Amino acid sequence: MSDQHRHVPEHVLRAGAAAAVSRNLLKAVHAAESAAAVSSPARGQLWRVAWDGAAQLVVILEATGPDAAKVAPVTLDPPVADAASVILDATMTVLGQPATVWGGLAHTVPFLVFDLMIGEIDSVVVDAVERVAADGNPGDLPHGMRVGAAVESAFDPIAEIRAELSDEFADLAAAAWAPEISSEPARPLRELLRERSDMAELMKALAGLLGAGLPDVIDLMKGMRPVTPDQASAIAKMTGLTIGQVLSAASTLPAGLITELDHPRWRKALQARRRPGEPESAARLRTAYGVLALAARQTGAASAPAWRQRIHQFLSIDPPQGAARDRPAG
Amino acid sequence: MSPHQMGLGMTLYAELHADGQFGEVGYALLFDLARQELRLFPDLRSATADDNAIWDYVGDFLVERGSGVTVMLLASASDEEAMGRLLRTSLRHWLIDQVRKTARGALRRRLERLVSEDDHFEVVPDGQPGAGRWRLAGGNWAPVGPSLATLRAAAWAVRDVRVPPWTSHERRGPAADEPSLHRIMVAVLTAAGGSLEPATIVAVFADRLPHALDPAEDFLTEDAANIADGAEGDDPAQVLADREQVDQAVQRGRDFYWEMSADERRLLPYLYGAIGEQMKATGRGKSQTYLRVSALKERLKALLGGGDDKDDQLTLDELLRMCSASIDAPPDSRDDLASIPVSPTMPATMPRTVA
Repeated sequence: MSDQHRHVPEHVLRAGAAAAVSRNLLKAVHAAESAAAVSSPARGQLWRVAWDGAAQLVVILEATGPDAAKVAPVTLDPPVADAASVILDATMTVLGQPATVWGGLAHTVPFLVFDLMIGEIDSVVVDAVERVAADGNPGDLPHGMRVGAAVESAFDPIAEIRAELSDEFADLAAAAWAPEISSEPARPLRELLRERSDMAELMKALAGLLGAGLPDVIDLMKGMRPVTPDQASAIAKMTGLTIGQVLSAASTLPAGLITELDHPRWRKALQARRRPGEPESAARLRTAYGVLALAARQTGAASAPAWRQRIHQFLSIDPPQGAARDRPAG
Repeated sequence: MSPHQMGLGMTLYAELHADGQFGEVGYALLFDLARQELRLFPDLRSATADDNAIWDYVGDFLVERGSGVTVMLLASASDEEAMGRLLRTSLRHWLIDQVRKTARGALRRRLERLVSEDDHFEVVPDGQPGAGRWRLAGGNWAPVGPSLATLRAAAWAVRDVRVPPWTSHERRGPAADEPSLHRIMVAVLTAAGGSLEPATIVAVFADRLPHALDPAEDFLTEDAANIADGAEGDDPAQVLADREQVDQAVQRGRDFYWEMSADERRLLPYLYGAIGEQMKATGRGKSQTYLRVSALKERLKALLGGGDDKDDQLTLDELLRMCSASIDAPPDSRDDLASIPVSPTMPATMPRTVA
C-alpha cells in the first residue's frame, strides 16, 4: 500500500456506513462461528462453502448421502439472475439483502467444503427454487420471490457471471484431499526393508535425515504416516527403494475415517492445524494419519474403531501447531 | 501477511466481523484495488492519475453495490485472502458495468445520428402512436413489441459487417461503418414490422456488435502492436510493398483483429482444438471457456458469412497470424490471466467452416 493512512473522503465514509450489514446478520455470523455444535448439512440450510481459494454461499436442496449434498449457489453481487434462478427479497433471509438463488446451477458438493452454517430458508422457498430450475414454471411463487430474465445471447453479461459460477462450483464439487483408495494393500516400509540387518541404525539415520523423533519414524515404518515427494526422494536414496515404493508405503486411509473427517464439525479444528502457506488438504492428511496411528497403537489395526471418538481424542492430545508430535517427518 | 495488515495491524476481515462495515483497512484496500482495476479499462484509465477521481469511483461503487458487497464478504469469505479476492471480483464486475454504460451511451448517440441523417429511417413524430420511437421512413408503422430474440436473429443475419480501420491502441474502435449500421438497422426494423423503442434497438445493436461494448480490452504492448502491423524490423521498403499487396480480405481480418478482446486473441488459435487447450488459452474454467468459444464462433460466422471462400480463408489466415503473434508478446498487467505459449498443434490455416 502506497499510503498507509490515506485520508478517506467524507462522501466515501458516508457510503461505507450506509452499506453496513445488519446487526442481525452480524449476530448470526458471530453465533455460527462460536457455536459449540455443528449441524449436519440438511435441506433448506444456508451455508458458506469454501475450498482451495473458492468461497461461496449456498442453500442446500438435498443431502444426497452421508458425505455430500446438492446445493444451489446464492449470490448478492452483482445483482443479476437468469430464468432458472429466483431472486429473494431482503426480508426472506438472514442476509438482509436481495439474493439470487441459482437453482439451474445446482451441484452436488462433498461435505468437506461446508464451512459455516449461517441460517435457514423456508422450505416453501426451496420448493419454489427447485420448481423454477426444473421447468422454468414458477407457478404461484411465495411473496417476495421473483424469477430472473432469460439470457438469450452469449454476449449477455449475465452469461459470463453464470459461467464463472458454474466453473467455481465444478471445482468445489471436485474438492478432495484423501489419496485414491488403491485396490492393492499398501506394503509399509517395515515390510519392504525386512531383509535389512541394520534396521535400528537405519531408523536413527532416517530420524536425522527427516528431523523427526523416533516415534514419528516408527509410524513412518508402519505406514501410519504419509511422506511428501521430497521426503520420499530422500528416503529412497537412503534405503535403496524406489520413490514409488516409498510413496505407496503409507496405509490406505479407511473410508469411514475420511467420511468422518469431512463432516463440517471438524472443519474449524482442521483449519486451525494448517501451517503457514500450506493448503487445508495437507493438514487433513496429516491429521488422518495421526488418528490412524493412534487407533493402531491403541486397538490394533484389525479392529474397527469409532472414528469420531478417535479424532476427538487425537485432536485433544495433539496440539494444532508447532508441537513436536505433529511435526512432519521432515 | 498483506501490506494492509503490515501497515495497519488490522485486516478487512477483522473490521467487517467487528463492525459490519469497512474501516480504515477496508477503504485503503478498496482504493488500491480500484486503482489497479481501473488500469485495465482504457475508457476509465484517465481516472487513475488522480486520487480524488479514484475515491469517486470507490464512493460510487459503495453507493451502488456496497450493501450487497459487505454482506457477501461477511457471509462468504472464510479468511482475509478470500475476502480480498471476492472484493476485487465485485469491483471488476461493477467497473465492467460502468464501461458498458458509457459505451452503450456512445452507441446510442451514434444510432441517433444515423436515424436523424439517413432518409431511410425516422423518429415517430409527436402526436402519432409511439412518438419518439424509431421506424423505417414512409410506412406509417405502428408501435410493436416483438421478442428480443426475433430482433437479435435479424441483426445477426446481416453479414460482412465492416469496421473502419482503427489505429489507436488507447481507445475503443468504432462500432461499425455507416453502411453496416444502415443494413443492420433496416434488418431489425423490417423484422419488427413497426416502430421500436430506441432502447430496444440499442440493446440489439449492442448484442450484434459486442466489441463496441466489450470492456475487457487489455493494453497491447508496443511490441505486439508492431508485430501485428507487420513492421517486424525488416526492410521498411519491403514492409511497405507487402502492405500494398494486402488485399481487402486480409485487411478485413486486420480490422476484425482490432475489434477482438485480448481473451479472443488468445483463444483464436485454439478455437477448433480440444477443450483442454482452449481452457489453457483462456486461463478459465470449462463453462467460461465454452461461452467464449461459442461467442467467438458466432462473431466469426457473422464476419465471413457466405462470401468468397478464398477471401474468407485469407481473412482467417491473417487473423490467425496476428493472434499467434500477439500471444508471443509479453504478458499483460492482468495478474489473473496466464501467459499462453503458442500451441505446437496449432493449425497452419484455420478451417473454412465456422460451425
